Amino acid sequence: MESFKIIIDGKECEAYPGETVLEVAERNGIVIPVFCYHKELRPEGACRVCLVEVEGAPRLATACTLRAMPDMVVKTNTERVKKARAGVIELILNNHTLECPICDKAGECELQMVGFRYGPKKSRYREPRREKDIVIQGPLIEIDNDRCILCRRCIRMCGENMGNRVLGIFNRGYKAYISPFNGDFLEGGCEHCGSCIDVCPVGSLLDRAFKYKDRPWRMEKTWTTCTLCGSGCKMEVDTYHGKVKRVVGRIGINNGHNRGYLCVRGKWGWDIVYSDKRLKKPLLKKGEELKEISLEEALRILKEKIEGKEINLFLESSLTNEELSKLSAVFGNTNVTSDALTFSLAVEGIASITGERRTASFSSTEKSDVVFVIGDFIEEVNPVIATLLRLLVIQKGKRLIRVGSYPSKLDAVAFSSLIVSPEEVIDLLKHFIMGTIDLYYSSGDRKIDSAAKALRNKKVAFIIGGTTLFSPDIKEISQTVAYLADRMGNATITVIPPKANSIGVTKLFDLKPPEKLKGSVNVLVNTELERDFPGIELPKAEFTVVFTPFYTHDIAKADLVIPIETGVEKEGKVEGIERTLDLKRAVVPKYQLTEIISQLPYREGSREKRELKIKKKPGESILSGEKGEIYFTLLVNRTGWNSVSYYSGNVAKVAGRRELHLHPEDAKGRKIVTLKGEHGELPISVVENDSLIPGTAVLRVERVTRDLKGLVKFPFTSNFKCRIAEE
Amino acid sequence: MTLEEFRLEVKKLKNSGKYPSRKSYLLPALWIAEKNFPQINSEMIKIIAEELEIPLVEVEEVARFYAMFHTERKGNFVIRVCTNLSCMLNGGEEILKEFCRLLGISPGETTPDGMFTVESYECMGLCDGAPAVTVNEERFSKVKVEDVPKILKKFGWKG
Amino acid sequence: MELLKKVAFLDLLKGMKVTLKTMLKPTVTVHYPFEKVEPRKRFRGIHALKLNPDGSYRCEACYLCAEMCPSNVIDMEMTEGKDGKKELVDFTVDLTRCLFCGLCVEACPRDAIVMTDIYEFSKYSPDKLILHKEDLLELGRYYQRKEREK
Repeated sequence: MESFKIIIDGKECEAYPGETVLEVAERNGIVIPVFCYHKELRPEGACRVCLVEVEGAPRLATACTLRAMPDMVVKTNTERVKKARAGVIELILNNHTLECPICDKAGECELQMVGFRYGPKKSRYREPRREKDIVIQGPLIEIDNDRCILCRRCIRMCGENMGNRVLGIFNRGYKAYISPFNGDFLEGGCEHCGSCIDVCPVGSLLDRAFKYKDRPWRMEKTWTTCTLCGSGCKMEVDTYHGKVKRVVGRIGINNGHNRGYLCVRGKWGWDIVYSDKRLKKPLLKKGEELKEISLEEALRILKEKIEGKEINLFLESSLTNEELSKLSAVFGNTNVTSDALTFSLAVEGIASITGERRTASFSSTEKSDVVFVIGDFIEEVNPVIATLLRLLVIQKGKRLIRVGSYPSKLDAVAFSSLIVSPEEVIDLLKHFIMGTIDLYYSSGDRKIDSAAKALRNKKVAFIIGGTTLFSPDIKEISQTVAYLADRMGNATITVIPPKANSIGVTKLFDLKPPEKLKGSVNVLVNTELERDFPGIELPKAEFTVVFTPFYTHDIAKADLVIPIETGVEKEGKVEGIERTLDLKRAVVPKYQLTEIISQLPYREGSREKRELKIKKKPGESILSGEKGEIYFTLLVNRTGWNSVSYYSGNVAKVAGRRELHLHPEDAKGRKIVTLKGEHGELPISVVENDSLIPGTAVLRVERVTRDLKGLVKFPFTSNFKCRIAEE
Repeated sequence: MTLEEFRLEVKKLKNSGKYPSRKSYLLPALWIAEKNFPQINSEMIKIIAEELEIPLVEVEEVARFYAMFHTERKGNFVIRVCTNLSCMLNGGEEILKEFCRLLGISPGETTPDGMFTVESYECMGLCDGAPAVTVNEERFSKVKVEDVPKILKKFGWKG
Repeated sequence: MELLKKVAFLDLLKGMKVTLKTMLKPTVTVHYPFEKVEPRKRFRGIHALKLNPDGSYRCEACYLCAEMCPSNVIDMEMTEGKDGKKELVDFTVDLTRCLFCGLCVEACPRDAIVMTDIYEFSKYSPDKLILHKEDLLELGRYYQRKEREK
């Protein structure tokens, strides 16, 4: 793009076509005050604080909506502008309550800052202040409408960027106020991502977990990475006297790949650290009971028991790289299993075509023209990644094509979304292999053909993620995708890790299925068997050691339990979706896994060389179903992923329900059905959902519990077959 | 009208194909609710949102934006007294006061028996007959203060 | 002249000028532990938190006093109360560091923190010099009683 020159306040600035005056000024260090403008949002021009004078124009113009034109002369500091600005601020302040001493936003409030710097020194109004007195309290978000300046930032954030449209403006004129539908966040379908709180320039939208808890300026700020899913979001943890007070994303300031967007787990899941289910001391089994012991004693026993023994290592893949390397040094790396097993299968599938076990980083989507997503429920497993994909379409104008078996929130912005039965996903991808190269190829479906046409000669970023990663045919899917990318040439493949360090675990260990473990001592680290290895029994062993931050059901099976850190207490590095991410400790934990492990003797380990067979051909579909069988996907709710809602009091307030989504054809009007799996049954309430395709069903759960054992078997928790018992 | 009937009405409207986009059916659907129910409540908003596939809050926004939709319970007869310029100059405000005095309520309120709602209104396009009053769909021009009880009695006021 | 000086002990009288001048006036010195001085009107003694007539405290935990404080004396913990109002969990004043400048009083937007006329607060252990919310409210009651008496 060719740049041109505009003059702002006598300074010659370089501008590009399509840029607004405000953007040019911001880049050149000229400050123009704003309220309704936000870097991440569509400009609206509602508040009129950013008025500037343009030479030749009769009236003042709003800098946030004014496009820069060649040879434009803009003045931001003339008397006329200053007077207009002060007038606007005076009008806004006129009806703004004087609650700064108790307002949680004071100190980082944009109205405070702009008001002090540009506002009038005195108000001329003698009329009483308008008092709406409408406070809307949700479980986690509170709207105080007296403080609202109606900039509509929250509404644009919620409706456009997040795609939820929960907040709206009710009534007109001076009675206007912000509210979700019926004043109820849960009824309105709020996802509780907290972005509205983050962009609010005043203290109107509040974090209820933080309400009146502290003052923003006195807290210590630690930038760290969220470990509650694989998105690897950068976030700011605010602490005071070593206690976490809140987590903020800081949209617009955050320089992480998530740009400040967080989800309900990242924003409110910090209080898992203060969960009442936290383990306080090491425990040792004596007879039938577990007795509290000291850490020294626990380490002594552990040293004795593991000496010379082969160890089965069960890992949860949100451990840091440092922890993982220490674990492999102490416990060996031959008998290791992890919930990243399916992720490693996906990487393996890609490697069988490309020859290297690596996936592209998420920023590869920025450089591409088309984003090709193969995955279901990315918005539940990795909510922030789904938001970023949505923003790629909305802000950057990229095309998004989605292939999957279930409807998704991303379909609303997708150029084309192809939803087919799980059996047909690979066949569909094969149509693309032909369609993108052969100009005259026709799959017989216009939708597929048009999508394939959109891929031709374009830079494509393939993204595999969501619950598709847990499908039995994930290796074949990723192989087919890699083959397609290989044939197209100009393409990258990213696999979204479901957990914080799935990539690190696959890099460091040769993961085996739990049945193939041969050790005689079980070591479980940070894991919960039911959640991470559903349907798996612990192998018979002489001794079982559990390293866990919480009281889990595994403790009953353990001989020795050692507490470790979790959440914002973690420090180290993880291999995230976007290169290596740093974790900084916000709170100092009592027990640190690396410290405990370093006191154990290292053992000589050898790592088998992993063989890689390169075969340049697409995968074959391995799924086939009989009549009457339905493909199920076990979907852990957004709030329940990583058991966050079980341990966090905040997130528990908005936790979802356990329900079965069935197509009306399959549901046949039943309210409750019994699912019959290979090893068990489960009665569950049904929600009819006609956006599903017949023959598929979504089993939404908040937490994977023991009663699902009969239906699901690790590692494939998605697209498994089940029957519905006929009444 | 029950809610189920209302749902059928909205469906019928949606399938009529009168308007180019889904969102355009929102105002007509709200009109059905306004005419058949004493108030537009969240149940009806939910039905409209489900049928037209519009976010819930967007329907409520529209319903609350327009003054002619009643999200609060209204009476059987809605008395609208114009207080805009020409009606005001011809004594519209006195007429509004008279209505309020006779019914014992203030503008925007409903009588306890649920019969009348009095609203002070903006221009209704009846400036030639200022001051103007409408009761539901019926209009009265050049109303004088003495006429007020007569108008009320016509609609069954016992006072 | 010299002789006169000697005879009349002029030098001595000169030396005792001050003594003679103040001898007959009432005494100013206070026998401190047994007698006490009433502090002046705007004397700055240790802090207190004022209360409302209904017994609730005035402080809204805005932290401005602590922000103003040049020697980091004040610290507080706050939370959301049951009625949705801001509630003070703890308000600590570390008297070992305080220099009684009175800036906290100036900063308070609610006129909640005040300085009493108490200047005797020496304690046997330094941690007793850290006043908590309850102590400060007790002092506030004392302060307001005094004020009413005036």
